[in-house]
Amino acid sequence: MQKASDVLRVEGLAKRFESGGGIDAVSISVAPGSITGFIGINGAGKSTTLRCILGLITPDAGRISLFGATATAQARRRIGFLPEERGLFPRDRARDAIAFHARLKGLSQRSAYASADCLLERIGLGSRLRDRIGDLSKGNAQRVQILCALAHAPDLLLLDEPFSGLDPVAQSEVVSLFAEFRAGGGAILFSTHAMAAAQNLCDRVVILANGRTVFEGELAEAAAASPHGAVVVTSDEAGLLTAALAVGGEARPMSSAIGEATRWRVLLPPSVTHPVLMRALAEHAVPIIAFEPIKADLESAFWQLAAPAKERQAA
Amino acid sequence: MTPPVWLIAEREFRTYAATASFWVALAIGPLILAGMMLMTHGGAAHPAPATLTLSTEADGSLTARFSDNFPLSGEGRAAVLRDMAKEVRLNPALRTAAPAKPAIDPRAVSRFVLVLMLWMTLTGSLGMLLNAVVRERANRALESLLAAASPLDIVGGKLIGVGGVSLLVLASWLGSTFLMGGLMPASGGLISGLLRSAADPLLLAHAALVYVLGFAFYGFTTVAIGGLARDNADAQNLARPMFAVLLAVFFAAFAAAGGGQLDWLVYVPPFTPFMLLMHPHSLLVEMIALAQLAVATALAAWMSVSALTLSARPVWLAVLAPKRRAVG
Repeated sequence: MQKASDVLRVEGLAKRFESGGGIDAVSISVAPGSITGFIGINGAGKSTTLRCILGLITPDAGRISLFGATATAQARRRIGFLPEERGLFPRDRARDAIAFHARLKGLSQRSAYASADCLLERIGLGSRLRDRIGDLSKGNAQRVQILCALAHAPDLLLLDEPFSGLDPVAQSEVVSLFAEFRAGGGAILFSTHAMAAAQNLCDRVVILANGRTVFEGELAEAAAASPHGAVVVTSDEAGLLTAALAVGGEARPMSSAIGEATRWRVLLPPSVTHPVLMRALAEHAVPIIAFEPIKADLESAFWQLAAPAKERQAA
Repeated sequence: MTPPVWLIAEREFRTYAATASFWVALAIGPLILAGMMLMTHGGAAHPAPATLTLSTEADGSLTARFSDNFPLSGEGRAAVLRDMAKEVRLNPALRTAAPAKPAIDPRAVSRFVLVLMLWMTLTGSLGMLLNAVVRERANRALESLLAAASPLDIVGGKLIGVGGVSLLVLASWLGSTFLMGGLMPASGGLISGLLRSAADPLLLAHAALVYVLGFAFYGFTTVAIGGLARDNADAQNLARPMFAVLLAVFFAAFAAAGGGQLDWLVYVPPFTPFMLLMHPHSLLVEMIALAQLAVATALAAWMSVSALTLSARPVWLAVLAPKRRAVG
C-alpha cells in the first residue's frame, strides 16, 4: 500500500545486466517512522534495488520518489547508506571516518565531529574514538560503519545486510540504535536474508524473488500467508513423495541433500493434520530424521511466497 | 560546508602525508642531494682563483695557460693572446691549446631540470594515485563513497590530494637544491644561473600550465586504469604500458636535449608536456600542442569518471574489460 506521505516509493523498477541478472518489477513503499525488511535470497536483486534508489546505477525502467518528490541528488543527501560490502580505510581513526562521511553529506566540521563522538559514546566505543579502524575488532569496525550512515542524522536509512558479521551482543545494540532512530521519526529499509532479525525488527516486509516483488505488507499479513504443513528431513525421496500424495499434500525440496538426507517442505490441505502425515510416512516406511510443523512466521511465508517465483524461473 | 572534492583531496593528502615514513623519505631525498653536491665540489668554501700562467719554453718562446674558470670566452682569450703576441713571441702550438669551455646556458639547463622534475613528479605520484584507486576497490569503500559524492568529485579529489603530496616533495627537492646552491658558492655559477632563469615569470607560468596539464593527463589516465583493475596485481599489469611510455618520454626528452630532431613529438599528447618544457616553440605550435593536450586530458577525465561509476559501462570499458561488473 503506498501513501503520499511515504519517504520512499519505488514503482515498477527494472534493471537488467549483461550477465543476465537484475530486477524486473520491484515496488516498495516506506512510511516515516517505520522499519521495512527487504527480504530475498542471494541474487534476488536487493542490492541492485538499493543501488538504484541511491542513484549508483541507472534503472532501465520504473519510478523512484524520495520524500514525496522525484529522487534528486539533494534528496539523496537525506539518506544514510550502509553498503553490503563494508569498506573503511584501516588507517582512519574511528571518529575521523564517521566525521568524514557526515561532512560528505553536508555537515560542518564541528557538527560532524560532535555527532561522531556522541554516536561512538552511545554504542560504548567512546574510549576508542581515536583508535584506527584496523585496530578495532571486525564487529566494532562494522559498528563504526553503521555510525557512518547515521552520523548526518538522515531521514531514511538504507541498510544492506546490516547484521551480517555481528555477534548477538552487537546485533542487540544495533537493533536498539535502529529503534531509537525510528522513535525519532526516521525510516529504515534494510535488506536481509536473516528471517529472525526481520521478524523481530520490522513493521512491514517486502519479499523479493527473482527480481520481482512477490509480497509487500505488514508483518502479520506475511505470517498469515504461511502454509499448513511440515518440514521433513529424510533420505527416502520416493517414499516421502508417495506418502505426501496419499494424504492429498505435495512435497518440495528445500535444500540439496545433506549426506543422504534432504530437507522437504510438505504442504497439506487445511483438513489434514500433522499426525495424519506422520502416520502416512510410517505406513510407507519412510525413515524420518526430523519432523517439524511449519510455523506461521516470516520464514514460512517467505518459502510460500518466494518458491513459486523460483519455480517459474526454473521452468 | 566543504565541497566533497576538497574533503576527498584532504583525506588523500593525509593518507600519505600524515605518516612518519613520508617525512623520513621526504628528508632523505634532499640529504642525498646535499651529499652529492658536497662530493662533487669537495666541500670547497671558496672558488679556485682564475689564472693566466706564462712560462718560458726551452726555445725561448712563451707559453700562456688559462685556467678553466678564467672569466673570458674563447674569443676573449684569443684577443688576449693576440695582444700578447704583438709584444713577445708566443709558442704557436699553445694559441689553440687553451680553448675556452663552451659556456653552459643556464636557461637550457633549467628547462631540462623542469623536464626532469615533471618526470620525477609523475613517476612518483602516479604509483600513489593508482594505489589510491585500487585501495578504494580493495577496501570496498567505493560504494559508500559513491553514495555521498559524484565520481567526478572522487577522481578530482584524488588528483588534487596526490598532486598536493607531489608538490610537497617537489618543493622540498627544489628548495634544498637552491639552498645548497646558496650555501656552496663553488657551485654558484650554474646554480645562480638556474635561480636567475627560474625566476623568469614567463618561464614559470608556462611551466606551471604545462605541469598542471601534464599531471592531469597522466593522472586521469591512471585513475581510468585503476578503475579497470580488480586488485593491485591487476592494476600493476595494466599500468605497465603507461610507465613504459613514461620511460620512452624520458629518453625522448634526453635525446631532444642533446639536439635530436624530435620536435614532432610535441604533437603526441603523452610527449607534449615534456617537449613543450624542453625547447621553446613558436606561439602557434604551443597553442596547437596545448589544445591537443587539453582535449586528450578531457578524454582521459571522461574515461576515469566512467571507470568509477557502477552504472552502465561505456563502450571503451566494455571492450577493455568485458563483463567485469556483474552487479547482483
